[in-house]
Amino acid sequence: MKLIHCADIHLGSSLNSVLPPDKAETRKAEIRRAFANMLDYGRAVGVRAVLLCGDVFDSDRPFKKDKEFFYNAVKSHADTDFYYLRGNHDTSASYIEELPNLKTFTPDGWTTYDLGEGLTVSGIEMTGKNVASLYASLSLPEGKTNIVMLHGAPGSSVGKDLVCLNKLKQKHISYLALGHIHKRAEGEIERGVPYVMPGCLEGRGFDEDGEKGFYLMDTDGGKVSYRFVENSQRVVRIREIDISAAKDLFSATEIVRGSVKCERSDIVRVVLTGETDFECDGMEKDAKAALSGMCWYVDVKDKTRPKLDLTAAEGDLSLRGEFMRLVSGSDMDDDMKRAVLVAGIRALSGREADV
Amino acid sequence: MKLISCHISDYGNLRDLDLSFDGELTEICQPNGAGKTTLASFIKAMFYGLPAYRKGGEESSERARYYPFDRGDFGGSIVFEKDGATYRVERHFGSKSEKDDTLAVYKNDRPVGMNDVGLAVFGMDRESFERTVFIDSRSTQLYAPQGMSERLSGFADATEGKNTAESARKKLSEARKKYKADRGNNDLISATIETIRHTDEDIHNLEAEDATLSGKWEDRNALAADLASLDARINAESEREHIAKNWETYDDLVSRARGYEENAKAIAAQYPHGIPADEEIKEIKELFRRLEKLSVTAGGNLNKARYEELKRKFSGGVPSEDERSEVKKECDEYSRLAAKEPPPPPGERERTLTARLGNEDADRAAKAARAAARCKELDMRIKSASLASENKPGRKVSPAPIAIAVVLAVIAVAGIFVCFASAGAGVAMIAAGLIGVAAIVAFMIASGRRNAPVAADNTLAEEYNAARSEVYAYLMTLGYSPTGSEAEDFGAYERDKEDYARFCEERAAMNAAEEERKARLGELSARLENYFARYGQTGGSFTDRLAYLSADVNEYTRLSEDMAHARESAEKRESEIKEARAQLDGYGKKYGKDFTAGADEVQRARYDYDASVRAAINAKAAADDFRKKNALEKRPEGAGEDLGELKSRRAELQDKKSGLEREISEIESRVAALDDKRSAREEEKERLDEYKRRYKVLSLAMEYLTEAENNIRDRYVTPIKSSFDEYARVIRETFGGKVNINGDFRIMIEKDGQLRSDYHMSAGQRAVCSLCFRLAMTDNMFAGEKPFFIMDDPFVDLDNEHMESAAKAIRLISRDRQIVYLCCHDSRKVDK
Repeated sequence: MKLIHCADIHLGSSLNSVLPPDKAETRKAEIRRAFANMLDYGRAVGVRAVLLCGDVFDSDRPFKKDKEFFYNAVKSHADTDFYYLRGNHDTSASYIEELPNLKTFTPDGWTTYDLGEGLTVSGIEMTGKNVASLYASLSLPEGKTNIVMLHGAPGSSVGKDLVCLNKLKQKHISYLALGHIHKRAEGEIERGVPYVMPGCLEGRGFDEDGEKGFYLMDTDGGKVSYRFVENSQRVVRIREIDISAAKDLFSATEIVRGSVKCERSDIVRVVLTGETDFECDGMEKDAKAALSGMCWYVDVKDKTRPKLDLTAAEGDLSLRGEFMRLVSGSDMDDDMKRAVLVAGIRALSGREADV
Repeated sequence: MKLISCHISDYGNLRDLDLSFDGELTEICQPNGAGKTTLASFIKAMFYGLPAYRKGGEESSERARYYPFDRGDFGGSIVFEKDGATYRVERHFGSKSEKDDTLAVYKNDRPVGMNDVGLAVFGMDRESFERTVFIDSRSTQLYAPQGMSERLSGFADATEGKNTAESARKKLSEARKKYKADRGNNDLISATIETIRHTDEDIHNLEAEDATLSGKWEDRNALAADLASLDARINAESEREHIAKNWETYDDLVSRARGYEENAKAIAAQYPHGIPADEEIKEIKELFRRLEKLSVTAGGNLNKARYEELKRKFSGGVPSEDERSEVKKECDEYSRLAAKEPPPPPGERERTLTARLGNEDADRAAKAARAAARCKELDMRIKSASLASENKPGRKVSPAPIAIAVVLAVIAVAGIFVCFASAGAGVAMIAAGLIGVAAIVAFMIASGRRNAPVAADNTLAEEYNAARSEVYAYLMTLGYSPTGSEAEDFGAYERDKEDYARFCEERAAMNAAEEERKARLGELSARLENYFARYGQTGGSFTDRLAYLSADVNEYTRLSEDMAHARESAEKRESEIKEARAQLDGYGKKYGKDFTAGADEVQRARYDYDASVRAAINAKAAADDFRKKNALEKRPEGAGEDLGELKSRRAELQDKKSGLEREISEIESRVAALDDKRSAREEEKERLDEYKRRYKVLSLAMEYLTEAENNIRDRYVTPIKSSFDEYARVIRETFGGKVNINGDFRIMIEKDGQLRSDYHMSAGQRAVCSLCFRLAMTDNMFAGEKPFFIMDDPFVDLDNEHMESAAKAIRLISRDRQIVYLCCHDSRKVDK
């Protein structure tokens, strides 16, 4: 039997803090589309069940339109069973539809579904009240292919949103399906017993870079095989570029252009680092403009620092030299020192003193 | 420290040159272009090297400017003494950059490592060296009184007076105000705080709304559950009612079937011996009909009467078709003749001609004709005679016209009397008489005229006139008026006569035809009247009478046939009547009914019975089908719920739920902005922090700048002031009074007991002042051994009076300090 394992779809996520409004709206639609594409893929390859390991929605109380979208997707795949573990979100009262192919779980104890062909799916919604006891109460039939669904980060600790792997050993688990961390990962609870964190379907921010998608599982022969299916429409990439070698704005932009490798569909963040000794006003805008045709969206952060030759103060008996010595010798942190020096030197040079 | 000597290998326009420096004052007076400034640059280059330059920067680069044209050994060496040691610096430079430069430093002839010679020797960088040790004409160009203190101040802190600490502080303050205003709230920090406040309010409101959603969703879901439960009840009740209705329908069908059965039984009860079958009823009906038919006499009373009537009518014989055809022809002819129009009455011309010529006397007419002919003849003869004779005697008047005129007059008078008897005749006579008289008069006048010129022969004329008179006499009796030409008049008469003859002929023909028509009409009428009278048909047109006669003939023929036929089958009929009656009796006995009155009743009974039986069967079958189709197994029990009330309740709950969902949707659409608001708030907060940081940076920059300024002032101002006072004392005479400088570098002159500002100083005095200031500043910048001065034509613009003062000052200074003094003219010399 083929199954899909996915998590952290975060339908209804507001992306306005990351993207401009028009791009945010497009991206929201792409996130919804990613979910639909995954289901279409499942239908095409004959998937009979979809494991949703938490955070299908982005809010504790998802909006009706987001839930309707989800329910409609489930309804349109009536021949596929959806195993829905809520996770951190969708915990408050909201729009509900009871659907025959939507199987849910509770925090009150483990719920196990028999899928036939010797396959079971079990899950429990982790809360503060059951976070320690859920391991002991897990009882799975021996001799069956047992898939367990949990929403939490794998580790060695017990706690909310944490999955203690040690406590899941020797529980007749065939495959631990996790969710919560948006970056995919694979590992083993014990020898021959995998755990998989599929990550999210689409990167929503610059902290969710890299390839995204879901896992396709196959339980034929009693063993669980699985592979990652990359399915995202866009990839988020982050690049740090040192522009210390640039002599001016133009050369800095050229360095940036030459350093960024991406696809036209990518979302890219460029962080400019290094020290500059030229006028940098507008560098973020120029760099953004230079990259705008290379990817779908680019964000530029200027983390450069002005180059300051503090040794030049030595031997400079002028007011400037005295000023530089005073500031350098102060107990301010380096960044503040630099900023004060730049402002003072600019003012002494007759230039606009704004920082 | 002291300069001892230098060797210039190749530097600018100086080549292979050795110079020794006096311990106190070394004065070099050379014209412009000799290399004084080059020498000053060389000395500086030996200590500080030459900065590299990029392409395009040659103009401001000393390396480029002093690179030897012959590309020789660009550089040289310098020997100086410091702190008791003798140093030799050997430097050679590349053409553009420092990578080709060489440097060797020897202390007491031993090589020492010293990369930054100037810094090591003087303790200052190149820029500071230029500001202190180097003095050129610009150093003394402090002519403008305004800003002198700023210039001096700026000189002290190396801001050259253009960008002083004060101006820098001002710039920082201006920049800082953008972030936080000194007064009021028109700044970025205040605006951002306000924006955050508004955003917080929005967030608070949205969060409050968001908080209500939970309860609303719970209520909505509870309503949804209630609705689901109600729907289940409604469905159950609807199903129950539907089943109950079906049972009702089934019962109705069963009841109907029963009704039909009862009806059939009732009908059957009326026929204890049974109801005749359809075939039998058919036969009974046939027998009855046959009896009826046989019982009807031929033609009926009405027919027989009619037959008798017609028989009487045609007692004399029935007109055959041929006969009637002939009659028809006569009727048509009669109709045609009757329709013909009688001859039209005479027209006006015919009447006129008839009045004129109707009673014409033939003899007189002939006579008149002859007279007309004679006139014609005579006229011809007269015309011939007149040709032979031109003069004619006077005319003779003939008495005939006069007589005729009298006769006509009498006729006219007689006509008056005749009018009483016959108006027409009387009027005609009067008209004829008057017209005639008038004609004769006219004629006489005309003939008089005519005759006047002609008549060679009076006899002809008299004959002519007589004949003419005769003609006119006749014509006027007919009513013709003379026109003067008897030929024409008679011709008209003759034409009229022809016309009249034609009219008469035509009239006669018409009248004849009319007579003939009338005669024929009369004949036909009489004959047809007679004919139709035989059959009693009078009145109406002959054509109509013939049509009625033909119809009667046809009817009589048919009735005769019917009567004949009836007579023939009378016997047969009797036998058949008997037989039919017997059969009817037979059926009557069989079924105990009397069928002699007809079979309608039994027919109805049969039909109703059969229909009832069929309907009963059908109704039963329909009931069974209905039950099977609707799976009616068991009747619903109990009263059930009030469906209307359930639906009403459902509608109420649905309204509530819809209203709640609408409310939720509205709230959600507003709350959807909450994340954006929070993100915006975070951004605003970051922005606020950034603004505050910038404000802090600018504030710190101002503070440190002030501290730096104070440090420099503290470090230099007082000593500089003291030194200045010293120098000023030395050259007091130049100023004519005591000169001093305060902490703000304001120069004041005390003269005649009054303190005056530098506004009152001349340009030369100011130049000396600035020199003293420079010297005082330099003195205080070097804690240990004081360096030498290099003065490159500093007084080039000074007037002679002040030049002397300046020269005196230089000589005095050189006692304590080595001065290399370069000038371009004897008048600028200081060592005299």
